[in-house]
Amino acid sequence: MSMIPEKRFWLLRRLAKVLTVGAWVVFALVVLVTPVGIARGVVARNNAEVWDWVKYGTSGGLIFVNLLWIAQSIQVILAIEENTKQSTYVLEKLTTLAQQIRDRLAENEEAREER
Amino acid sequence: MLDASWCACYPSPVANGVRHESISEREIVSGRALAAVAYLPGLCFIGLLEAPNNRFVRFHARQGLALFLCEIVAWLGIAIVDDSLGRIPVLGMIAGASLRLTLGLGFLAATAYGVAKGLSGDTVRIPFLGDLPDKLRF
Repeated sequence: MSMIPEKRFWLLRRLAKVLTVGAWVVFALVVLVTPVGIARGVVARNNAEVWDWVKYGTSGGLIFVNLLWIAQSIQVILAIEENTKQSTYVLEKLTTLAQQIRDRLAENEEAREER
Repeated sequence: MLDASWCACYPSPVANGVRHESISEREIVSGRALAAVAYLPGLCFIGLLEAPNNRFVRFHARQGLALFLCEIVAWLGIAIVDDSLGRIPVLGMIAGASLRLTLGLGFLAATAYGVAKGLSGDTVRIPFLGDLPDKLRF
């Protein structure tokens, strides 16, 4: 197993980044635009407009949470996959080492018996 | 020499059309992450793009697509309920909210189950989907 950074799953990695950036863009838009809209409705004493802006803000918040959730899920899955691979590699190495030690012990035992 | 085999995958109770023997261990090992990602909303085709010939990924992508279709139908149903029953002042709102919560938690649980099964290398059906995944041919 090479220790060179993985080229696999490049599409997933890129998608996770794009989704994270998209989520924060949506969040910034919601934070910047919604309060202004609500304030305008309040100043104009237009309850319907205020209510509409609250609904837009909530929708934006939900989109933000959804995008971030998907991006984080992808990253968690990739991290678990990477971990599994690394631990399998370590387990292989340890098993090989244990077997080599066992072989060496057996050889030593045989040599001692011959002597 | 002892072989720490590749399989961190566990034997699976396969009560479905896809025989576990037909999916090789290599396919399972290389496709675990893609199989898990297939259950995230709308991402079922990512696995097919990255590993189109992997039967393990295809199995999970099919289930992911079926789950996604069910989610779309459910949200359409909720929109219809909101526009009809939701007009009843208090009762409608409570009915809509509880329906949304129940379905949302149900789909979240199904997604988590699918992701866990994909990552552990199992080919297990998601409950309640029936044979819908088998009808999706790709």
